[in-house]
This record gives sequence, structure tokens and C-alpha cells, in this order.
Amino acid sequence: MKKWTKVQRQKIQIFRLITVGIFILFLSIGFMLGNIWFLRPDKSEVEKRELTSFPTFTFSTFMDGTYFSDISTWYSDTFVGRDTFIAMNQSLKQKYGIHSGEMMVGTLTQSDEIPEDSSQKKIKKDPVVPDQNTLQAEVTDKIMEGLYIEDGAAYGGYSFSQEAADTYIDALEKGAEKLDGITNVYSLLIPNNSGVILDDETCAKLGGSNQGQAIEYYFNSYDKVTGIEIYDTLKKHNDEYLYFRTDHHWTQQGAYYAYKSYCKLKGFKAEKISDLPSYTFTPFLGTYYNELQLPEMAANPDTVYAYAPKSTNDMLYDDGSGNLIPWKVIQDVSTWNEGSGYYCFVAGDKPYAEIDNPEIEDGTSCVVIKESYGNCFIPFLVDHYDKVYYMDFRYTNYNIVDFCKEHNVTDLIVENNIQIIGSGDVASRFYELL
Amino acid sequence: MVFSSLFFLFVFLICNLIVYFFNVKYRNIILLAFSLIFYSWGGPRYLILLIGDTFISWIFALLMEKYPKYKKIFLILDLVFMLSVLGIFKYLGFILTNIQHIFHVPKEIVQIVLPIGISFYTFQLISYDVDVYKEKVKAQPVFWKLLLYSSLFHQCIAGPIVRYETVANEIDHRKVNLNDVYYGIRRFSIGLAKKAVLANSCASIADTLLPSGTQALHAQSTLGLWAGVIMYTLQIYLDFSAYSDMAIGMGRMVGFHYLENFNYPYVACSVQDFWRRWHISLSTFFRDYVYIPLGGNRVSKRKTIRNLAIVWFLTGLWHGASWNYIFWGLYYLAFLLMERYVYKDKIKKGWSHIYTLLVVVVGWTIFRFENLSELKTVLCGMIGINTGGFVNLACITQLKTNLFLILFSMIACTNLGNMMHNALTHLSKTGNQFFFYFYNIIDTLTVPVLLFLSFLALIGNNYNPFLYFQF
Repeated sequence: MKKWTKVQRQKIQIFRLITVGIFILFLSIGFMLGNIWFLRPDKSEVEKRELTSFPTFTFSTFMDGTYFSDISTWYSDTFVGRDTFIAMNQSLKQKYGIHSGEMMVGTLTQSDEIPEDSSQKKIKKDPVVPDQNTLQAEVTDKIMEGLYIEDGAAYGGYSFSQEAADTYIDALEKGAEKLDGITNVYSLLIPNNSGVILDDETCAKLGGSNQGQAIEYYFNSYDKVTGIEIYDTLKKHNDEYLYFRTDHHWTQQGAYYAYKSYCKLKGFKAEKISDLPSYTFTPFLGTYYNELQLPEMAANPDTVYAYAPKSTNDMLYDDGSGNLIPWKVIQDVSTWNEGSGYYCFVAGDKPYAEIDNPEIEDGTSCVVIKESYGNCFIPFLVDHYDKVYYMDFRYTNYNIVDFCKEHNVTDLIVENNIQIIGSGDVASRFYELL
Repeated sequence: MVFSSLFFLFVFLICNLIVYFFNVKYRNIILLAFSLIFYSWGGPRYLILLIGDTFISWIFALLMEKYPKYKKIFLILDLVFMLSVLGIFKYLGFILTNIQHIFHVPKEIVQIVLPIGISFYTFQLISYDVDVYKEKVKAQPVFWKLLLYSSLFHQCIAGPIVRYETVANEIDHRKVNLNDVYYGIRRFSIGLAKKAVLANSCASIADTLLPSGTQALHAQSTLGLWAGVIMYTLQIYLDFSAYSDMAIGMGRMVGFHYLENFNYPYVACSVQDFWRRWHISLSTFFRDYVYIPLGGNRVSKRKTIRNLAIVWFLTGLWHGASWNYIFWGLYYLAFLLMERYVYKDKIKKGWSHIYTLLVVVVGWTIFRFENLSELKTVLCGMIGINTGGFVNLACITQLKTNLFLILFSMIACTNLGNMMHNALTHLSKTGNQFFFYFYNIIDTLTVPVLLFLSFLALIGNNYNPFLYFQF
């Protein structure tokens, strides 16, 4: 084999020296960036979450190594410019393969068969509720499992779990029993976009369970709880803009049909949506886009059409420390980033919030216990009650039954997305709350 | 601490290299201090065990050298101690669980946390003591130097299992030149990218296609299960060999020459060939310290089979305190015996690669699932006994959206990249200026490109464990 000449060897040494220099420079730049403490972010716009905070020292975490591993996690999680680098990496990942119009991401949990009758209950024994972070992670997992993507729109799947369903039903029934004669308890179960928008053939291809049948099972199992029927109505109007394409939520137009259905139950006169003060926030690229980063979604973003109550747009929310912060029922988020459109509704997911209607002083009140699907439904209720309260079930510390008794609440609406309550952990949480 | 973390790269490694290269006199002390910090990062309480094991090993080695008449007794005592510690921390829970299953006692089993890297450093220290006993190496008179050998952060917690004889001389007399540093950096960068970009991505696909829980696995399609275990096959090689690459690379940067731990195992043409190429430091350990002392194959056929059975039972057990690892070891024993005594060289070339890969892929399936019910579900699903049908959209989507990554990962498991590099090196020596500069520019750019890609992959990645840390 031929050898390099002496001159060539000298040149190679120079190239190698350059490589060593680049390596040291790379690590040194990383070292310096890592030490700019004041530039470290504390929340991620891309992932929509609070970033890890620096761990607190305890002897036990020191000895078992979790203190150190938490430092490593914090170091990486709050690295300067992380969102920019993550975005670069996500666009790089788009080159990993071929993206077509029709895709399926993730696998749905195996579903149980939906029973014809609800006599054979499978209630979770001694339900244990995980901590807040685990519960939040579980909710996110449920939302993102088994996504079907077609032409730049993502659809969430649904899998029925009998144990989770029976646990949830039992929790609500027990709550309603405790509030019997004090507060009316309503159940609002919101289907996923796949069940409403996709045809039966496509739904069958995705696997999972029939959402209409599942909601029927819940409602048929209730005794003291009243179900708010919306599935068939949404199905009937599925050519309208009821769900976002790039986000897992329904639109406020979708929530409006639930409001009309609720008004019918209560005997309220529903406001015409066209009469309500309206706002438009565009473009909106939601959670599905964050997860999938598909260019076809970015090319065809959503628009948030928001409708405020006639009576007031003022509210107060608990910032998590017990301080009540003044805010707007529909907040102008037009200057926020393009992933923030859904935050316009009732300050997002807060442990507690209250809205006082200055036009009604009859002492009527309503509590909505909900996750984020409920956010765009709540503004419609404001015009019909003296007071509207809401609690996000993931973050609130209130016992809802005690709260309803103390405040002599007229109506309690338990709002949930059907897929999210398919989680046994989430269903168990309602035992704690009610 | 894992090598593929920003904290390791931008705090630990850079500090280590700067302090090391700016101090000529106390380099071993510096390496030891950094190694102890590195090990403590996984929990300082386990450091006591590492130091204790090393101390016992050091004492017995000195005693063996000083009192050669009794060296066998010292070796036995040393082995009893070392293996007992390993047994208590790694296997006691497993043994008690099985006893409880049969005899319903004890009522409660104490959960013992497995100290990180215990299997690796215990084997290193055993090899040291046995080599001192065999007078292949001299006992290390200075305790902290033996501690440096056992705790050296390059290889302490996930291998390769470095023999003392490999580094004995280099502990005191190692030299580093520009080429060493360059080769070390290059090897480290390749390992880092292999782990951060390829192995982690393969892991993510494998985890999606092989969800946890019997029900979920039962609902997966046959193609999905096969794709899942193939992705796991790619992951485990890329992950483990990446760690060895980084260990070898970092060793080289400071003048240590660790032996290779992998030699493209997935291009093997027989199961025996596979094991000559996979985790070489472990298989040679069992060969030299178990198989050959038992008589190897220079005994009767019956005893050879017995020796092989012991070695493969131990190989399985070494990987974890669970039945699936033992089955995995015995599974390989069955194929090795068949290759030796039944079909020998009867499988034609070409088919032999397919046969070997098939054995390996099914082997990794056994390896992955500690839950035997899940294992059964997957194996049944792979032959079509499932509820998920042959193929589903989720599986097709995973394969399509990661097609290039999968192909690249497959190529990364072969020696194609190495062959191309060698061809380019050859061309650069022909006297053609274009090829000379092309070769050098490509080589120079490789490191920053790989580092940057790894950095991007690591910054938002929550999935980053090294598979072999659990051993």
C-alpha cells in the first residue's frame, strides 16, 4: 500500500490539529453557554410546559444520586436557546423518512368491549391517584396516543376501558348522592374529533371503540347524574368547524352545540352565537402540530374564533398560590405566539377561577369541573348565572362536594373528554374530588 | 451520569480534559478524582462498595504475590467475597422471589438497588486477581492506582471489561500525541452520534411498535412486532457499541488503548461468529476465566457440552436477574451446540447470514421482555397469533416516516462506512491532490458535524438511558 509523502503527513497533522481545536472549541462554547445562568429559560414555548427547576438538596437525594441526576436533567432542560435547537432538530427529523397525506402515529391502548347493559360493574378497588405531574403526563399521553393524520389534520383515537368508565361513573354518582337536593349534577362528555368527523369506515380502520356507544354506556349507567347529550348533534353538524386540525381541542363553535343542548335541559334561552362579542386569533398551530411538526399543518393553520359573554368579560383566577388575579374571559392573545390561540379562553387551565355576572344577582351559581376542553364552553354559561366557578381537576385542591355545599351551588357540570377519562388514573381522581 | 448528556459534554468532559492536559505531574490523581466524581453521580453510597471491592482485590493480590504457597486460598477467598457481593446486590432479590414463589417464604422481599456498573467492575477486579494468581501480571502495589483501574470513568459503569494487563503498563507509562487525541476525539464523536441520533431514534420506534402490556402487544400487527424487534436489534447494538466507542475514544485521548469490544456482529455468518464479534470483552472473559479452566473443548464431548452449558447459563445470568436472560443464554447454547454437532458448515453462504440474523433477532426478543407473559405474546404475534392482523397503518407510518433513518442505522451496523473510509484513505495516497484534500476535509468536518447533530438530538430528548447500565 502506498504511503503519504512527508509533506502530505505534515498537512494531515495540520488538519488533525484543526479537528482537535474544533472539538475543544465546541465543548468550550457549550460550557460557556451552559454557564449563562440568567439566560436559561424557565418555560418552553415549543413544548408548552414549565421547565425543570434546579433541585433542592436533601441528604437522601444526595445519597441515592437523584440530586445529581436532577441537576443533569435541569442542565439539559433549561439550556440556553433550547427551543430554537429543538425546532432545528424537529425539522431535521422530518428528513428521517417519507411523509404522506395519511399517517398513524402511536398506538391506541387495547380497548374493552362496550357492554350492552351496565349491570356488571368493574369498579377500580382502592383507586390510587398519582401525583399532579404524573396525572398531567397521563392526560397528555391519552391525548396523543393513536393519532390519525389525513391531509394535514390530526384525529385523536378512542379506546374504551370498562374499569375506567365504571370508576368514573361511580365517582360521579357518589358525588351526586352527596349533593342530592342541593346541587344538580350534569355530565358533559366530549367526543374526540375522529368520532365526530371521520366516517365509520375510516374509524373502523383506526381500531379503538365507538365513541357514541361509549357515551351511551356512561349516560345509561347514571342514576342521579344527568348526561348532556351532544354526540348526535355534533355528528349532524360535522361539516362545520367543530374541531381544530392542528390541536386536540374542539372549537367554540363545537362547544356552542353543547351549550344549546345544556340550555334545553335547563330551560334557558340560548344566546345566538352571532349576537355575542367575537374575537379572531390566527394563525393557530396547536398541540398536534407541536407533537408532529408536519409542514402540511404549518401550511394550513387553524383560526380560533372566540365568543365572549354579553354580560361581562372580567374574571378572577387563582395563580396556584391562592392569589386571585384579574383576567379576561376571552383574553386578547393576538400578540402571543402562534401556539397560544386556545389560551384565550378563561385564562387556560387554572386550579380555580370565578366569574361574577353583574347583570344577575339572584344567587344562582354553577361550578364546572373540567380539563382544557371545558375552557371554550364556560364563557357561554356566564350570561345565565349570578356566579360561575371553575376548577381544573388536575390542579385544584378543592373538594367539589364541600365547595358546592358551602357556596350553595345550583348546578355542577363535570366536563371531560371521552378519551381522557379512559385513563384509570384520571377516573380515580374524581373519587378524590367528589 | 451518562456520556450522551449535555452535562457530561459541557461540564464534566471539558473540565476533565482541561485540568488533565494542563497538569503533567498529577494526571493519574486527576483521572481518579474525576472518575470518583463520575461514579458518585449515580449515588455516592455505592462508591463505598466500589472502593471496598477494589480494596479487597488489592489486598488479596498482594497476599498472593507475597505468599505464593497460599495463593490458591487467597484467590478462592477473594472470589468468594467478590461473587458474594455481586450475588447479594444483583441476584438475592431474584433468588428470594423464586423461593417465595415455590415455598411461600419469606413473606417480604427486601428490594436491593443494583449499584451501577457492579457487573463490570467486579469482573475487571476478578480478572486482575486471577491474572495475578496466574502470574500474568504483577500485583499493583499502590492501592489508588488499582482504584483508578477499577473506577476509570471511561469504562467503569458499562464496559468494555478492560483487563488489568491491557492497561497495567499504561497506568504509569502512557504517552499521548496529536494522533492519539485526534483518533480519540473522532471515535468519541462517532460513538456519541451513534447513541444520540441513531440508537435513541431506533429506541423510540421500537418502544412505539412494542408497547408495554400484554393486551397492547396482543393488539399489535405481525409486521409491527417484527419491525419492533428489528428496531430493538438495531438499538441494542448501536447503543452498546456507541458506549464502547466513546469509552475507547476517551481512553485514547489520554493515552489508554482499550481493546475493541465489537466487530460488526450483525454481519456474522454463524451464531459462533456472532459471539466472536459481540461484546468481545465479556465473551473472552468467560472463555478465559470459566470455559478454559473447566477444560474447554479438550475434554470429552459430554464435558464440553457441560462446560458450554455453564458458560452460557452464566452469560445469560450476568445480563440480569431474570429468567428471560437465563433463557436467552440457554437459547444461544442450543444454537451453538447445533452448529458444533448437528449442521456444522452445512448452511450455504448467504443463507448463513440470514439464519444468524434470524437467531439474533429472536434472541433479542427474549432478551427484551422480562415479563414472560409479554414475551409469549410477542413470540406468538410474530407467527401471526394475535388480534392485530398482519399489518396496520400505525406500523406502516412508523416505517415510512423513519425509512431513511432505519436504512442508515442498518448501514451503521455494517462495516460499509469503514470500508468507504479506507477506500478514501487509499485514494488520498495515490498522489491525486483532489482526493487528498477531499479525504482530509471530510475527516475534519466529520467531528463537528457529528457533535452538532448529537447536540441537537440531546437537547430535547428525554429518552436517553444506556441499555447496558442495568447490567
